[in-house]
Amino acid sequence: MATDATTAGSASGRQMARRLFWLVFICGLLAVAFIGDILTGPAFLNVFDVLAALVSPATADDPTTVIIVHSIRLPMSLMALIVGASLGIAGAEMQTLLGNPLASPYTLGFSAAAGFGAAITILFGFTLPFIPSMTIPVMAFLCAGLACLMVYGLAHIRGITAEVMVLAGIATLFLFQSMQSLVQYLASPEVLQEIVFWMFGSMLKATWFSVSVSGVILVIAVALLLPDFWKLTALRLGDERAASLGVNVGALRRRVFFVVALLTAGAVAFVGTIGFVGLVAPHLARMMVGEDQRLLIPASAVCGGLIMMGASIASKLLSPGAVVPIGIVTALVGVPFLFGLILTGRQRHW
Amino acid sequence: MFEIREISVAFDGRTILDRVGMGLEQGTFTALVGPNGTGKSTLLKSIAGLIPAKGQAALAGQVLNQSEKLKTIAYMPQDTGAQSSLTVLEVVLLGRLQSLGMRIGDDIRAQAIAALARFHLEELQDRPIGAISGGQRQLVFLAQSLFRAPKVLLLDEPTAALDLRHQLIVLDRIRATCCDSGMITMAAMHDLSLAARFADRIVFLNGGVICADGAPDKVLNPEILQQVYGVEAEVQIGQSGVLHVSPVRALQGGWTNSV
Repeated sequence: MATDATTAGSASGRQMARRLFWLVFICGLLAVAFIGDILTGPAFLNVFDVLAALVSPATADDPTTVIIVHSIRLPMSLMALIVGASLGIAGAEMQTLLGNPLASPYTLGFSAAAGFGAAITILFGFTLPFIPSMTIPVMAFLCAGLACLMVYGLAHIRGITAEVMVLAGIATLFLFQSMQSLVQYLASPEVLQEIVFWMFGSMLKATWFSVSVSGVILVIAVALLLPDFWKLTALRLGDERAASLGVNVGALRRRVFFVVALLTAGAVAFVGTIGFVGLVAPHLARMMVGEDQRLLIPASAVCGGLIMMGASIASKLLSPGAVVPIGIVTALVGVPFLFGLILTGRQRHW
Repeated sequence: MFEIREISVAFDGRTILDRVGMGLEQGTFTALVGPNGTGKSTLLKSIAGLIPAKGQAALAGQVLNQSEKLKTIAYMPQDTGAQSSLTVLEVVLLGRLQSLGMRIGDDIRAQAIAALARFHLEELQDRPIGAISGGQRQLVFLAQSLFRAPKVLLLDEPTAALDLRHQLIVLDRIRATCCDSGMITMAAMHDLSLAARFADRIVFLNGGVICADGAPDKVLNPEILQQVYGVEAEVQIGQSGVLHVSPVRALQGGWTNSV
């Protein structure tokens, strides 16, 4: 028996090593993709000049390259990374909370609400005092917060169960989508174009300020999730089993719901709607590292970042000299990855 | 001694359990039996503190609060399937959820594998829980419950998904654990012959109240079975000396007796 248990123990050790290998491997891929994203852009800069501007801006030959790299490309790439990581984590937690593989950060209507906030701001053209340039992100964030309170309020009355949250979320989603459509219907062609461009989602809106805000939100969200990693893992066995293991399911759902809302709002408020990443990144991560949240959360973040990096590079290469909005490209880049894993995977992971 | 004191549960104004109380001796195995919908699962959940209930649970005279219940009592729900891709080993490790950190030590991992080995499941440890059979899954969850090393184990139909051989293995292991560690076990069951064979005591629950309680040879008789289940049944002593219950026919009446 002891020999059997030892043999079995080494088998589980091998599985953990395999999962860690996958995590390190995708981190390496992400690092390469990140550099690749900074190297590409509509300005057709020399690769070595970009690397020199990146590594040693003080001694770089071309000041224009330094400005482009540090003021445009670096914030764009970092923003894509942070947005991808935020949506990846938010998607993983939505799928865990709702026990539904089709759940994503947008299932509960936060993104639609953010879009509505941006649309009315663009339609009425008002600006906030002191921070006029931040009017659209602030309004998008506030409306996402409003959607969060609506879903939470409904779920609080009827019970914080997956079913109630999904129904409340879908109702909120349709409400904000229809109000968004109404705003678009009322808008002039010029304003409509601006609204639609915001909806596409684009890293061109990224600044060092937005990178800092979204980055801080991401760090806070991960710190808030850390103590609940094992409880969230237990939730994958169903509410009753998790409760029997000592998890206060309602309180856990409440806490993580707010974290997801924060992550989603922080991601979409600055750059607009980015679809697909939050839905697919957790599935890719699960196929590689399983459902242990100690690995699933970082892997979902890395997969989200990787999809965004791939989409960002593709968005610059698709139309030379221009940057196609990244929200259009994310699915084009992510779907082949997903198809590949579905076709080669031996087990169901959802 | 583990005591259940006057447990009452009501949903939407309907009484499910009405002041149920009993004392369970250390190292004993009690079978909780009764018709469908009579409150067996509700009683187990209310003892474990998973649903709101009036009444108390006390161990050695000390009334248990919610956090003490979590440390003392392990409750294993009925198998309703698990679509998760968590591995069998991860599921067992979750039994000690409260003490797991970012790193899992080799000793706790070895103990989890040993818990699986008690049911000859160590070879399945890397398989996703959703990809094994219902019977194997039931054994994995039982291994998880025993891995918690609880003082009180509450099982909701632990043999429902198991074949004949595994029913005997599971109940035998539970019985042995009760004897070895002094663990108190109460299991909701439907198979009265199995209950008679393995339990020290059988408690009949009907309509939210206890209607018979005692050693199997005292309470398993045709009169009580007719009163509780509305069936005509024969109770015989088999060659091995174990009571055997054979239902003969259902008598006229409703689906179940509720309070």
